[in-house]
Amino acid sequence: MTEVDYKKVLVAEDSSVIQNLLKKILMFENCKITSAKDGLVAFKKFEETDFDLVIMDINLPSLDGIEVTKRIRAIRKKKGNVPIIGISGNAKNLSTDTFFEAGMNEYLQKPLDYDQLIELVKKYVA
Amino acid sequence: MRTTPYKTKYKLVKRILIVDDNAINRKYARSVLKVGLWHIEEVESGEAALQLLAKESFDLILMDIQMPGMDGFECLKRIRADFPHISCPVLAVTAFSSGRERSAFSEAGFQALITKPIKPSELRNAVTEWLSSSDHKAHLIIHKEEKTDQIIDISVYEDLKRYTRSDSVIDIYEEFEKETSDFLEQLNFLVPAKNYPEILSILHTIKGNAGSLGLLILANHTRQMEGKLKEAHYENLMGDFDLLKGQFSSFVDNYKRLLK
Repeated sequence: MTEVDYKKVLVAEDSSVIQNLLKKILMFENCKITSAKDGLVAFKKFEETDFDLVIMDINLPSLDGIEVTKRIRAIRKKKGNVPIIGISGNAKNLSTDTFFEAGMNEYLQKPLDYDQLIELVKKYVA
Repeated sequence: MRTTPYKTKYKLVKRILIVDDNAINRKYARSVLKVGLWHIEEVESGEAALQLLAKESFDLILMDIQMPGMDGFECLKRIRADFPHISCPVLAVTAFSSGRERSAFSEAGFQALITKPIKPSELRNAVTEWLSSSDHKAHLIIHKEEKTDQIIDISVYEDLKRYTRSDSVIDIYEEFEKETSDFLEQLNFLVPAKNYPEILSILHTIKGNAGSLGLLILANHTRQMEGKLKEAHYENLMGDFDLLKGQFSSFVDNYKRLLK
């Protein structure tokens, strides 16, 4: 038994509006959110802590979500297998292959359907 | 033979065909429509749609317009020519800035026009409405577009309250005000400097946030600005930016009153 029963979720998202919205919504799924607004910071935080789930925006400063995902998957330890849910308005019109080949487990298009997001989060942290 | 819905124990399952070259869009539509207990088939091109329609029947077709090869208009034309017995509603899905007149869609025979980005509720409502409508020759309904002149879509605000289980989510809108002010400050430098990649990135974020919060005027305008910049139409950028600032001021002046 661990003393904490919440799940640790890293949210890499450049907008604090969406960050806080996700924080409020996922609080009810027993998630403790760590936020990063920039790809490099997100990866650094990922290295420092063991997360149960990563929610990754694509359009991020310094290192985009695809690159961060690739770096995470390049870690040859259990850590590198963390589930990753990509979220994006898909500004660059990428194909789904791009997201999945980078190593994302799921991809949700923005504007987000929160029911769908909650369902996915449950699927990976339950 | 009109439609042959599959029989289940209790009800007839309505069949929906999604025609879209983009796998993300297909997956999005499928997951949004999953709640409806409908049977969903998807194909990635107009050609594939015609092949499938030769074998199977559907109660509704969701047709993307911009597809490589045969586009949505051409595909519908071929459906009408090759399968005159098909009378199910065909809904067009297209980007707002596609440049075509609305009337072009009704003239081509589309029953409704749904503009991207598509809100989940909007897609579900349109599909539910057209599946239950017995009069498929009804006038073209433009989903959402008539609502783009609202500062805030209150239904989105209500949804957010429900998801966050709060009496008020005005703090999220305050956050948007603060963040967007910072973005506009940055744009004050980036626009005259013609730093288009940075401008695009900021517009994209504002658009996404405004869309998520139901800020229709702002979401719509930033979407149009993004569309123009992507196509390298820089000539109206200054004017569009001024308009954006004006729209943002009017959001700031009004949202607290509107969300009361």
